[in-house]
Amino acid sequence: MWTLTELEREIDDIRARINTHRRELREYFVNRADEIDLATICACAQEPLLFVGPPGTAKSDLVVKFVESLGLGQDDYFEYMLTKFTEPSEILGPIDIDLLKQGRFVRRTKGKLPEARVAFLDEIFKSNSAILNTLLTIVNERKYYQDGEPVPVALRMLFAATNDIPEQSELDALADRFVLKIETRPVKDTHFTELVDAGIMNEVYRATEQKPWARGTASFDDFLKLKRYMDLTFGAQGDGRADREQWFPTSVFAEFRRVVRTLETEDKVLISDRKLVKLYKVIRTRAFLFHGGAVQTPDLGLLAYAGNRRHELPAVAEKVRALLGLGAN
Amino acid sequence: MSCSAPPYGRGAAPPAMTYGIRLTNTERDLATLHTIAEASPALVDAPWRALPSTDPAQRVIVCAALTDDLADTLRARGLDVVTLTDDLSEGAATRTLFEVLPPVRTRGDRPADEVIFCAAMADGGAHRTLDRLLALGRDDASVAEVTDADGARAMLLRLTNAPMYLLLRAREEPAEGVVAYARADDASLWVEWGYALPLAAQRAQRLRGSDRVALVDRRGAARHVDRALPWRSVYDALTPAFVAPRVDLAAAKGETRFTVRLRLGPATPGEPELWMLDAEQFLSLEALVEALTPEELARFTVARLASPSGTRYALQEIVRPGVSRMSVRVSELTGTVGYTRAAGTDNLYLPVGRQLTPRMRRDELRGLLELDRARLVVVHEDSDGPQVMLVRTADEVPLSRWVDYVATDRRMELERLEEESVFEWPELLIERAPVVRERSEARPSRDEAPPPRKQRPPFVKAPVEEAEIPVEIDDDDGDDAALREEIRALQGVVATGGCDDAATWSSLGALEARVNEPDDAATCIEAAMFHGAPSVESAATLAALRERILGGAAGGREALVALVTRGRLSPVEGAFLGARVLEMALRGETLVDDGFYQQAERVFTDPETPVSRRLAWTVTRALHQRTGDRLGVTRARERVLGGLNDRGLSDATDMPRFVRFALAIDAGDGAVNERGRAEQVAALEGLWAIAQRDFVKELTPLGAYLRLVFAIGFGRVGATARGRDLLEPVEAEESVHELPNRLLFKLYRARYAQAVTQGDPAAWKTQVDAILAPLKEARVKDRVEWLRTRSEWLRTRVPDDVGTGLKPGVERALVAIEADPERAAADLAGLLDDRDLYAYEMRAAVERTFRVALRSGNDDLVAEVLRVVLGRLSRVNIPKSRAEVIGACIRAAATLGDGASVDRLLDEVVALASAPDSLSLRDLLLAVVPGLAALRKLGAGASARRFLDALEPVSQRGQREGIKLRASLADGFLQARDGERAEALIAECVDDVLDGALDHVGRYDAGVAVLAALRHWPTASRAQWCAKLFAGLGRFTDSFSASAQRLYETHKVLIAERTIDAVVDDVTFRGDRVRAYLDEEEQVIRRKILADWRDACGR
Repeated sequence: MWTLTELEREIDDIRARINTHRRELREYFVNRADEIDLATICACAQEPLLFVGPPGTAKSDLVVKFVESLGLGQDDYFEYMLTKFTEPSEILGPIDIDLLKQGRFVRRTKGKLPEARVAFLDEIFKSNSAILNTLLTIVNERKYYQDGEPVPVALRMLFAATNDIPEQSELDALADRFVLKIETRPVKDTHFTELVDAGIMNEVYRATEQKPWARGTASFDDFLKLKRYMDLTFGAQGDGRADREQWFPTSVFAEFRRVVRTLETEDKVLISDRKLVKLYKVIRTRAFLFHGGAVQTPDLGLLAYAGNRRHELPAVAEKVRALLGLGAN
Repeated sequence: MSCSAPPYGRGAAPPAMTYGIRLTNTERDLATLHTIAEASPALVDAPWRALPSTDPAQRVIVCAALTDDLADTLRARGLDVVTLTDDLSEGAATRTLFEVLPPVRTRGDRPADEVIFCAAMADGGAHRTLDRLLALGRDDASVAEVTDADGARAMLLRLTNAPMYLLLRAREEPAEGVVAYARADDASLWVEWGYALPLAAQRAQRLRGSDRVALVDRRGAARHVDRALPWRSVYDALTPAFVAPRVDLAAAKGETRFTVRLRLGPATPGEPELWMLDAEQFLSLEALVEALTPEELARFTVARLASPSGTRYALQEIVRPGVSRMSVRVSELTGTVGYTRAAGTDNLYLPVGRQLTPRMRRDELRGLLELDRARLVVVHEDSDGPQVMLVRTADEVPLSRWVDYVATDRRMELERLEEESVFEWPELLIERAPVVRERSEARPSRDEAPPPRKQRPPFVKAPVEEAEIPVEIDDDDGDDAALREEIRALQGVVATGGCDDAATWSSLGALEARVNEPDDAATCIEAAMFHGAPSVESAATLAALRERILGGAAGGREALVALVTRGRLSPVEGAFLGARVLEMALRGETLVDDGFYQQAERVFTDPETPVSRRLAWTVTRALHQRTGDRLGVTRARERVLGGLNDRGLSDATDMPRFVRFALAIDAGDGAVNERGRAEQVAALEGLWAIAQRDFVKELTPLGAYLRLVFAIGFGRVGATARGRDLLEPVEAEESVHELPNRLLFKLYRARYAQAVTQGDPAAWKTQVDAILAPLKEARVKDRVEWLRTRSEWLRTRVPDDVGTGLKPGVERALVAIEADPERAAADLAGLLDDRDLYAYEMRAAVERTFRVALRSGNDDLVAEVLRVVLGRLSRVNIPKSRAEVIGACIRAAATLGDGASVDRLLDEVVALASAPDSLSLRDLLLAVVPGLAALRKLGAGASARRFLDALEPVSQRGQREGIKLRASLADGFLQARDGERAEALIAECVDDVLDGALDHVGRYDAGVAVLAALRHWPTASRAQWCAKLFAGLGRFTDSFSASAQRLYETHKVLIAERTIDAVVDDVTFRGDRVRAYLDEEEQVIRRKILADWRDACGR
């Protein structure tokens, strides 16, 4: 595992590569900069990201191209569309019959979620409770159970998509695990021409089996290194000051607090303690990734994606941008 | 400072002491001060001092007015009272209890109901606050401006439910110079948000009488402002600025108008109200006019118009709300779709289902199309695009003004008139008219149109009060009479059916042309050309005759191309086109290119084209002979014969008109089979007398239904006046009936019009759909559909259950057979050899394959399929399915004229019937009925007698099915010319139907079977049996009821329908003489087609 000293030598290069990577990926989409930025930040922070939107708004395409741009091997990526009939075996792998005969309940996980480093779960809220519970453990604790024993998963990045966020209390726990949720909207009304041009180019790429985005500037390791660097930085209190004191100016932190408080009281957005800490983490990651220093007010713009319910997402996004004076998206 | 608990006990005289109250710098202090004020209100205004403290968690306030007693009281109420040993408060400023303690910070961030933001103007705080407020969409604030003693200006922003963000910002960012004051109690006291002021209630109470309100900040400093500040809208505090380049535009002089081409676009189809007709189309309304009641007739107006293309007649239907429309019938009869009135205009008519696009303002539309200056404006559309027809003046008259009683080949009508004249008009004279009555000038002249189909001069019914006036009658001279005698003789020859002598047909055609009967003449020439070798001359004559019937001016190149490419032709157009194509092919002419002939070939081999099979074959044969295309001849043969197998001959197109009349009217040789209309009308009258006596009660639904059913019966035999007589009371009493009945009455009336005008099924379906379209309520719909779907007359389609519930593999195989008939036999063999096939699937496979083979017109294919099926008959091990398979085989064998196979199959039926585990009679009927039909076709031989004899004992089994089988057998005996046994059997059946112990459904089924069998009986005895059955109509009970437990007498109505069917039997449509004629002709035509094909292909 990399040490802080090792990482410090190359972290600026890594940051530059990831930023270039992020900007390059935007070229293959129309008006999806926010989605790509968010996917990049979440990948760096290793926090799950949920895309919410109607069919045909490039949710799957975004994830697939993002993953392909990382140059991962086939076994490193797991993708599945969930339904209410999906069984845990389809996600975690089938039970090993030979071992079962010996009284052991072990799954064969090759090519399944536990061994994947990046995963994309489509229609995640359509899964049944067995899957939901398994996913909760994997997302939150990064582990699953083999024969009653917890086994860590290799998962580093999780993306999920859904048409809607059901208003059912049993799904709240899973929804809360997704600290950031971004609404993907159709762009045809505002970018008609560009959409057609880009869409046709994508068709050409598909027909000719080209994947120019797969030559991503940053590698998967770059994302892991940045995450490692951030983890080490969070814990490094060089002059005895907490990370917040060092990287979060008081005024910006007060603004952070004010916005969160406003969302809670006025918009009734539930921000749990866990979520607050995760928000802090992704804001810090964004600040470091985007401008390499202390958090600035624009970094708080991530709070625009802190809504939980489907109907909250646009209202929260608008509110946060207004509060921070960031202008409409 | 040092302080301690009181060192003295009760009873001891305390020294004069100074007391203080220890506070905690928390919200608890609010309660503490409240307790002090409550314990002694005087202490509120007493001088208090706050002792300096280094401990932020505590503070002591002292007051000299705190006596020992008060100290005890306060201590007793839980306050932390301290005794000061040293007077350390010396020198500290004294304040009232209100002021001694600054506001206390409250926990959490509680939303405030109403807030005043006080923002300094100088450092931009007010500006920023306003900006943020508006960015959050809050424009509901009120603003006021204040100045302090130093002249510093501040803005007060007052709003309810203030944004949390602004509150937090005001509290946490003091550098911005904005303080948010939340209303503490009432509008008199406002305390900085996030802080609570001690004794706020008391303080507010004191302020209430004042004209000022206090704004207290976190330090306790109060700003006092006028209570009645001039609050104004936030927008009054804004000067909007829009930073953008500005371009000034001024109004240009003049108006530019763009020419936009109007076009006709699709619209929701409505019912037409106007028809522009030529003379021939106008005259084709005759049948409708005959069927209309005077009220219905009065809804039409006609205007005669002159146009460059000839005289046109504008027929308009006056639309009245709630009255059923006649438009479908008019459109069908005239062959034109008509025009609907454009929405929002009075006199603009557009083709049905079209509208002008783009939409225009009405005044512009009026100006453009000159609507104000025209009586009618009709936008017509054809392949050349839209055309506007302006009718500036029109002399509209009711259609009734164009109607005279013209009839006259309707003998029954005349006879009835005569009969009535005996009883009602004793003075009526009928004599030969001295002169032919001149036509009204306005009437469509026969010169404009081809000669009418009815050539006899019109009769005029004399008014009763002027009975002496003679009526006009035919004025044949002697030569004409001889000519007609000759024609009648030849007609007698061909009317027997099966005439294949080209010379006879040709002679008759020439004679018919001489007496000016172009329709009959053309039919005869067609037959002559079919049976002989068509010549250019005869084809030219035929074309001329057909053109005359069509109305002329249709033989041009473009008109022919339009006809041959049109989707659907009328019979007149089809016949004309055929004649012209034939003439051109024989002349060797080429029109446009060979594509024309190829299209013509497709038209005439299409069984849907409404032309005679003779003409269809003559045309296609000529077309293929022209090119020497043997394969084409073979394909054409298959298609023409396929149509023949599938549909048989049509009495409308394949039967000459004179044959129809000869069979229907001519008394012939007086044989038992004679079914003249006179007898049928008499039989109907007899039945109606029974109905009137026993069943028709005024204002009862059954009475109305019976009137309607009999009206249709009379309409079928041409006694339309009698039919109208029956309809009128129903219309008069319609309003007293329930909605389902009213709708059904409407359907029956439409059926009456259909019967009288001989409309086609497509028009009938359109009409039914139009009547039922407004019907939405499920309960009403159920009741209407209950009868409608069971009625042979009202239903629009016959359910086909062949091939439902098949395995997908079987269905796929059958679809493959239907797509490629050539492989029918081989594929069917493969299917039937499949051991997993159920019997019902075999039956479905056989029936559908036979259908395909028969439709292909390939007799070899039919024979091959028959061979395959006969070889595998034993595999169909379920008796019912086997009976159905045998029935299908019998039909196919009879079509092929294969008597040996029919014999063998009839034996199979007998074997099935007499087997120990014999199948039910109902199932047996599935084979018996086609068997009897085959016997009729092939003639009754020894096998037929054997068949009937074998089945007669079987028919005694069972009740309902037994009756049905006996009725069928009676029919068979009748065909076998054993009238005695037939009569005995049918008598038995009728008695069993009326008196047998049958349930209501069984009785109805059996009654229907008996009535169906009776259709082939001689009219006299048939009428007698029908009358007997009809007299027992009361026995046909019903079980259908609505929730109200009311019975609907559907069985009675349906039996009445079937009785009429049995008695009238469509007269000239389904009568056995007609059937026999068509059967005979079919065989002749089939033989001729095969002979021609062999000649052409050298086989």
